[in-house]
Amino acid sequence: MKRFVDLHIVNPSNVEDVFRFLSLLGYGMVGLTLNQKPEKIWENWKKLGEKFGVDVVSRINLKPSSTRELLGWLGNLRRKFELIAVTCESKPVLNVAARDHRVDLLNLTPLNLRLFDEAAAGLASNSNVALEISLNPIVKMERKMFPRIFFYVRRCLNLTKKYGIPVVVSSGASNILEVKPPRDLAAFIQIFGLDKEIALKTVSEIPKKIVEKNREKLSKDFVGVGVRIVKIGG
Amino acid sequence: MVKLFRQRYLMFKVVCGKNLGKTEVWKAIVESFRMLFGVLGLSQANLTLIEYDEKKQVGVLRCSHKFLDAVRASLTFINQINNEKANVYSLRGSGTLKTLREFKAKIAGKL
Repeated sequence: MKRFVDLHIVNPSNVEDVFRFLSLLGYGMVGLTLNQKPEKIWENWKKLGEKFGVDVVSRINLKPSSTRELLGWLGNLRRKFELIAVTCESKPVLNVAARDHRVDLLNLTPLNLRLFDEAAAGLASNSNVALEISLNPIVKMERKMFPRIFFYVRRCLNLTKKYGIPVVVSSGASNILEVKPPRDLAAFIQIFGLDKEIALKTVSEIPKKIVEKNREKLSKDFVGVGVRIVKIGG
Repeated sequence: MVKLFRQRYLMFKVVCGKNLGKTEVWKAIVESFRMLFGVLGLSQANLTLIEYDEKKQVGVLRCSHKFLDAVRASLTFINQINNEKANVYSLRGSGTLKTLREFKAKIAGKL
């Protein structure tokens, strides 16, 4: 399987084209965002992905307006999706999401990256939540906003370095005009001070580890961390 | 004798609704690089468009070896050219033009 991973493809308009393009660019695993669609569609998309050699990961983006809403959704949805990302619009939601073990990715809009501070980073470091930086929302912003946004991104990355929080970089694409090759994504995150090796890991090893860990937890054989059912019966 | 400025060649592709000309694409790349790294960065990178195939929308850039990743990053910030939605992405980087031309011939069918 190819080693690169893009964990954020958002409701693509033409799924087959996007999968073909992703496979050509060298991606072996893709996180597809669906909003509560039936399981049958997921199976179809996974089969379509296999046709192009792309492993499709089911993902949901939660955008709660309050902490109570977030906790309710997490309880209902954790076992239904392989990846749960929370788009945080307020500090209380960010803190609860950072602290919760059921959350995999913290996804912040470019202007809300300012919310990610030392407190949130400290909470995230204890719960193994990763910070996700999506390229397309940043690129689509007005150019006059770039200095401020780049400052926030750089500050977030410094905090992730300080607290040992994993970082995942993704395209946030919804069609082939927004998909970028993995090395271009790694080069994008390098401009904010990350080393080349670590930048390449943010599009390969780190997202892959998150997905594999979740798949293991969601499997029927899973009992607890480090404990699996090997055989049932006599 | 070791060269002071080693060069790297970067093959890129443009995906757009309509076929774009060499000048338009070059202008967009330079503008994106200058927006990110400034005039000083542009001078240090020594960025040049070596060739551009308007039919296949594939081109080759040359830059200083220290700025190859910077050039890749600047391509990610191009989302439109001449008010047309476009995607510019790198295909492959190399130290020699010959390798890139061989690579281009190899993947000609997929482009």
